[in-house]
Amino acid sequence: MSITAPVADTSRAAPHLDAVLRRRVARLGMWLFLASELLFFGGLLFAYAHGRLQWPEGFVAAGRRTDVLLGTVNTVVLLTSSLLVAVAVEAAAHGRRRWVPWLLWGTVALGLAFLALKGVEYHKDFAEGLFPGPHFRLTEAGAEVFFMLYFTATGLHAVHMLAGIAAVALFAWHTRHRQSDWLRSSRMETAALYWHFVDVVWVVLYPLLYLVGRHP
Amino acid sequence: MNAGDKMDSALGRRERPGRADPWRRELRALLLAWVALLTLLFTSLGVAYLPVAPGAKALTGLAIAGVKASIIAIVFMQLGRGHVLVRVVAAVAVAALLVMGGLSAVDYLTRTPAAAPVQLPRQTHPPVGR
Repeated sequence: MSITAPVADTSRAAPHLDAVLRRRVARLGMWLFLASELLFFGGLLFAYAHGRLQWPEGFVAAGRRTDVLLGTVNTVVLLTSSLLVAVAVEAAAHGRRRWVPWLLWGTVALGLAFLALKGVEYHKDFAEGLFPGPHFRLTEAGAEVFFMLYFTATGLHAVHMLAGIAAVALFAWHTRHRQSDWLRSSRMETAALYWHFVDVVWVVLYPLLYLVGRHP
Repeated sequence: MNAGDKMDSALGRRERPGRADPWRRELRALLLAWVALLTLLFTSLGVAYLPVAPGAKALTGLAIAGVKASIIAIVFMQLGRGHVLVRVVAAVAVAALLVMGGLSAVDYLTRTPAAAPVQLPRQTHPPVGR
């Protein structure tokens, strides 16, 4: 027997089974990756929890300085982008292939809008002396730790957004032809799972960074 | 419907016979989830401005975020109809996160903060005339 012979040629014996397995493996692989990402962001969340318990007044004073309007608008933008990706996957699965590139380009546009708003927010934060360092303006103990976590968490999230935008844009570009293999919902599903995870991270960050220290 | 779509519907999409158009049903479910997410978002925003203790507000905000994350995972990420292995991976990830958080809390929550004298940094004069 040649060493190049396949061990088990399931694709020839049962192509349908092979497709089922490939789909399951792809989905499981992405979920495993997302599990590692959850632990990655989890460390930041626990650092935040300990900081908040250690310096409650400092965290409240610092949380009051974040822009709740921009944070809320960005949350709406991201939740809507997740809806578009989910609809794109279902549209591909149910034969509505014409919709798919439009939905994906819509997602990319919303992702870019999110990053643009984040840029505006960062600019405002820098102007107000909220970036940790020698020019940090707040004096309460722990306030600088809050903003260190704020910039680390939102910065890492923005890097993940960039990767997600690139992935979704790639699918949007390739699905412009109705017969493209990229339209298979099983393939698109992995990119969609990543996008939704990035959304979940933001959903958890939102109350921790933007809703602290608000009062009537 | 072409071959790819037929394959997709054969690969785990549970089309229930005798129900409305499955595409419309899916679309309606996704739109409802999105409306629920926006409602929860504005609820958490409103709660943040209520005159209650900051700790209670923080816990409410986190609980609402947990519900929102669950809706995204179950409806948008299709965890509800995923393979059992996928659900096991998701559950183990959350459990591992909680265990690690608990282990780190063993240190941080049992520390006794000791007041230490703080010496402000200052520039000393360089030795001159030696």
